[in-house]
Amino acid sequence: MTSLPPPTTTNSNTHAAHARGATKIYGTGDSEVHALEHVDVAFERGRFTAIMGPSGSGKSTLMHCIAGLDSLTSGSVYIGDTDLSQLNDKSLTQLRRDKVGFIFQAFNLIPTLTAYENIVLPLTLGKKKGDETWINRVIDTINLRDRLTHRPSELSGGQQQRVAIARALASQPDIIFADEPTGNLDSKTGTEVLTFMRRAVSDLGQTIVMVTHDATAASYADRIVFLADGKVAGEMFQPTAQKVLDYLKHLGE
Amino acid sequence: MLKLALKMTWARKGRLVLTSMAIILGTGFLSGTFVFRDTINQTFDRLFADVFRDVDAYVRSTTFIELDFGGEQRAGIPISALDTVRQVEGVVSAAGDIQQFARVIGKDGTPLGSDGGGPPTFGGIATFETAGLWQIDEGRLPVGATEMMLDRATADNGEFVVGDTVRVVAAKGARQFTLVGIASYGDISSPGGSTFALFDQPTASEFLLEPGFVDAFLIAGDGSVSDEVLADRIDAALADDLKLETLTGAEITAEVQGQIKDVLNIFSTFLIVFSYIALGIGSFVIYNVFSITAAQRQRENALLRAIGANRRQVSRAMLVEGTLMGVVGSLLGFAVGIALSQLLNALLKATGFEVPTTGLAIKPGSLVNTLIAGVSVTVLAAWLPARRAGRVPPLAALRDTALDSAGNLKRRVSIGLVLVALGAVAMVAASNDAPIQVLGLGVLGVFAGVLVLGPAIARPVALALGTPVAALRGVSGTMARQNAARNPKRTSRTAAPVLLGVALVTAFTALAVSIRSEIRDTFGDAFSGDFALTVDSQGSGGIPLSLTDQIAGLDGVAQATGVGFTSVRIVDPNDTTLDPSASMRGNFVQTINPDTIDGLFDIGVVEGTLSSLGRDGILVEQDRATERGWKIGTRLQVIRIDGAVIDAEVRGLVSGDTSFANYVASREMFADAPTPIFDSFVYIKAAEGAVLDDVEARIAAISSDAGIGTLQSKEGFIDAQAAQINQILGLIYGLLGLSIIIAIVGIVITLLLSVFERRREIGLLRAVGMTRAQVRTTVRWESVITSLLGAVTGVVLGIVMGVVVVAALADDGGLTFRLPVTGTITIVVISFILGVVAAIYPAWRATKVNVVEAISTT
Repeated sequence: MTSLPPPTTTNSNTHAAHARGATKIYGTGDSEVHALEHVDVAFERGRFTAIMGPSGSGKSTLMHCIAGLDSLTSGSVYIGDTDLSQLNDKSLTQLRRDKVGFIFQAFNLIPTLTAYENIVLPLTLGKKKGDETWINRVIDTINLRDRLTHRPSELSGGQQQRVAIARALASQPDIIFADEPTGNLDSKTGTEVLTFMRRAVSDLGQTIVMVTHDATAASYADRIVFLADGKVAGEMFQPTAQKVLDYLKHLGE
Repeated sequence: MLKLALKMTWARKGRLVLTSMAIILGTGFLSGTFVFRDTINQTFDRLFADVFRDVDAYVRSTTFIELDFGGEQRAGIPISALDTVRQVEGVVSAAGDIQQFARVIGKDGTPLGSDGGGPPTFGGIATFETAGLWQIDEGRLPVGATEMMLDRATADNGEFVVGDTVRVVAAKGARQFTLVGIASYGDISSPGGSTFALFDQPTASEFLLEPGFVDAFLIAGDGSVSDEVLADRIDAALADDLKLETLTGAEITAEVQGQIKDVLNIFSTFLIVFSYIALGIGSFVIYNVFSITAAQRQRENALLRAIGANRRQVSRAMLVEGTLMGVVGSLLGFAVGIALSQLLNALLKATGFEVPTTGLAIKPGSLVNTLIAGVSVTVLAAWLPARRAGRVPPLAALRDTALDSAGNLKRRVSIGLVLVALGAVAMVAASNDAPIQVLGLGVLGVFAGVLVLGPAIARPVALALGTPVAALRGVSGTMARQNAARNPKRTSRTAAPVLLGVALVTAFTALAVSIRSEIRDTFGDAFSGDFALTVDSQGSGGIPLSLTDQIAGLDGVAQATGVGFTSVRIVDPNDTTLDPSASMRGNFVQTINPDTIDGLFDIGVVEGTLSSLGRDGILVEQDRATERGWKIGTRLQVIRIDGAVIDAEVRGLVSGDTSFANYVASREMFADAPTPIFDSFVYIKAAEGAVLDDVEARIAAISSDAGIGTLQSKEGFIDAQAAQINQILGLIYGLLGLSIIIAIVGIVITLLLSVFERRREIGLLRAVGMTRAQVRTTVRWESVITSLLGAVTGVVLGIVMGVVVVAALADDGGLTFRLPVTGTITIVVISFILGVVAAIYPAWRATKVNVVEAISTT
C-alpha cells in the first residue's frame, strides 16, 4: 500500500515536511468518511512536489493537515523537526507565519491592503522587518515592481496570483503549499504563474508542495505523489504532461 | 412564493433572532412604559376607591384655582357648617377633613421625608369613624392641642413610639406634640410613601390651615336613600352664600382618580416620547441589518430572479421576512417591556416613591400599540432594502462577491447638502423670532441631510479617525481602518444611531450648560447677601413666615428677607376677549417682603418701584405686560385661593430673570388669607463686623430647630440654583441612554454580519499567521472607529444645534452659548468605550472562524 519506505530519523535534514500514518476521519458511525488512511509521505527540501489525484482522493485534506490548518484523527505530521500535534493554536499560528507559505486557488488577497502590504503581511503580522534584499529579489523575480501600490481589485487574476506567490515567499518559509494555484487562471497566465513557481524552487531554493489535478501544471514539478481514496497510490519523478496523463489513465483502469 | 419566503426566513432563524434584537429593545422600552403607566394608574384608582369607600357625600368649596402643573387648590370651608350637614335626614356621621403641608422632624433633627422632590408630607385630621382606611394600630385618637398620631411607616422610620414627643413643622411654625397613637392605612403602612401627622379637628385647623376651617366634609349616609339624593339634600340644606358644593362618593373618587392620572400622564407621556425616539433610532439599526443581509443574499436573490421570479416577488419575500421579524420582535419586546416596567417600579421605590402595587396592569391596548409601532417601523425599515433586492440583476448570481455599492455619491451629496441648507435656513429663521415649530422642522431637515450625506462623509472621516489607530496598532490597525472605510454606506448606517443619540445629548448639554452659567451670572448679580435658607418644595409648604422674621431678628443678622410662591387667578376686567369665568387657571405669583428685600436680593424691577407695592400692588413680567397691553396703573383683579378678590394695580414691571414667576406681590396681600403662604427662600445678610461662622451657626440652630430648609453660603446657593438644571439634564441623559443601548446593539449586529461576510478573509489571515489576538484587535478597532465616527459627527451636529437653539432662546433673556467641554469629552470617551464593548462578542466570533472551511469555500 505504500510506495515509500518509512522515513528514517535523520531525514529532517533533507525533508522539509513529512507525515507518518496520517489518518483523517470525518463524521462518526455510519456516516464515517476516511479522507486519509495511514498516509506516509515526505517532501524534500529545495524540491517542487505535486500532489495529484481525483476529487475526493484526500489531496486537499492532506495538504491542510501538513500545513497545520487542520488536525489529524491519528498519526503525526512534522514541519522540519516540529511535531504539529504537540502545538497549541498560538504556536501553530506562529509556525504558519514563520515556516509555512500559502498560495490559494482563489488568490485570497486582503482587498483592503495594497499589493506590497499583502506581500509583507505574514512579516508584519509577526512584527518582523524581513530580509529586504530577499523581498526585493522576490518582487523582481515575480516581476511586480510597478504594481506594488495597487489594490487587489486593480490587478488582473495573474497579477493577483503573483502577489500571492510573493507573499508566500516573502518570509523565506521552510515550505510553501499551493492549492490549485492555476485553477482560476487562463492557460497563458497559468503558465506564467507556474514558471514563477518553478523559478522560486530552481533559482531561489524554495520548497513547494502543490495540489493540482491539471497534468500540465504537475509537469512543472520535480516529483508527483498520486493519491486515491485517501491512500498514496504511487509517485513519479521528472514528469512530463504526457507521462502524467498516461499514468492517470492507468490509475483509472 | 409566500411559502418560499417563509421557508427561507425559517432557514435563517438564528439570524432572525439576532436581527430582531433592535426591534425587541425598541418595543420593549415602549411597552414597558405602557405597562408601567397602566400599573400605576390602576394602583391609584384602587387606592382612591378605597380612600372614599365609606364616603357617600363630599362637601367642598366652589372656589378654587387650577395649578400650573395640574391639580387644583381649593379654598377652606367653615367647620360651623358641619352642624347643618349632620342634621340632614339620612346622614349618619359627618367630619371635617384636612390635607395640608406638615413635616415631621426626626429624633436627629432632620425632617422625615425628603425636602422636596420626594413624596409630599401631610398633616390632617384623625377622623377615622367616617371615612377611609385609617385604622388605629396602637394607642388612641389625639385630643387637644398637644396630642397627635403618626402613620405606621413614619413612626417606624423615625423610631417613634407612643408617648414620645414629636416635633412638627407646618404653616404656623414648629411645635411639639405627644404621640398618643399610631395608625395604619388599610394593608399598607403609608400610602404612596407620604408621611402623615394627624390631629384632632380644632388643632389641625389652627396649626395647618386657619382656625375654624377645614378642606372638606366627609359624610356617611344611613343607606336609606341613594348617594345622589343624599348629596342633593345636603346641597339644599347648605346656605348659598357659603359657596359650597356637594359631590357623591363616586363623583369625588372619579375626580381624584382623574387628577392623579393627569399628573402621572405628564410623566408617562415624557417616557413614551423618549421610547418613540429610541424606537426611531432603533429603526436605523433595523434598516442597516436589512441592507446588509440583502447584500449578503444578493446571489440567492439573483438566483431566484434567474430561475424566473420577478422583481416584486423577490421584494415581497424580503418584506414578508420583515413583517415576520416585526411581529416576533414586538411580541418578545412586549415580554421584555413587562420586565422593564417592574424595573421602573423598583427604581421609583428606591427613590422613595413607594407605590403599593396591586399587580401588573397588562392591557390589550398596550399590546396592540406595541405591535403597531414595532411592525410598522420594521416594515418601513425593510422597504428600501427590499426594493433594492428586487432590482438585483439575475447575472449577479454568477458573480463572486457581493458588496453594496455607495450608490450615486454626487446625487447623494447634492440632496444631502440641500436638506442641510434648508434645515439651517429654517433654524436661523427660528433664531430670528420665527415660531418654535420652524426650529423643529429645521432640526429635522439638518438631521435628514446629515443622514443622506452619511456615506459620503463616512469614508474620509473613518480614514482620518483610523490614522492614529493604524500608526499604533500595526497591520491590525491598518486593516481595522480600511475595514471601517471599505463600505461607507454600511459604516454610516451603523454610526447613525450613535450620531443621533450623541447629537441630541450634545445639544441638550450645550443648552443646559449655557442656561446654568446664565443662572449663575444672574443670581450672582442679584443676590448680595451672605447666606440663603432654601426649601425645594415650591407651592406646597415651605418655610413658615414666622421663621423668616425670627431669622431677621437674630443677633449678627443685618437683613433677612423671604421669597415664596403661591397661586392666584389674575383677571383683567377690561379685557373683554377673555371671559373671566371660563378659565379657573391659576398663575404663579412670587411673594416678597418689600420692606426687607431692598439691597439684599434684586428682583429685577425695570420700571416702577418696590416700595409702592403695598397690599394691592402687583409687579408684572415685562413681556407678559407687553403681550396683554398692561402698563403701570392698569387695574387687575387678583383672586386668591380663598376666593377673595383684590382690586390690584400694576405698580411696576420686572425683567423676569430673577423672579421665578410672571407676577410679584407683597406677602401683605395674603396676610388675611385662610390658606397660609410660605417662603421658599430666605436671603440673609450678616451685620457689618459680625463673624460669618457665628452668624451661620445661629441661623443653622434656628432652622434645624424648626427642622426645615437647607442653609447655604452665597456660593453654595448659587451653585444649587444652577444645579437644578442638572436634574432635568440627568433625566434626559437617562432616557437618551436607551438610544445608546440600541446603538451598541446596532454595532454588534453589523460587526457580526461583517465578520460572517468576511470569514473567508479572516480564515486566510489566520492561515498566513494572524494570531487570535490580532484578529480581535482588528475587529475591536473597526468598532471603535465606527462608534467614534458617529460620536464626532454627532458632537459637531449637536454643537451646531446647540448654538442655534441658544440663539433662538437668547432674546428671552441674554442667553449666550457656552461649549460643554467636559460633556463633549465625556461623550467621546463613552463612545470609545462603547466601541470596545460592542466589539467583544463579534471579535470572539471572528476568532472562531474555521480556517479550512473559510478558505476552501468558493
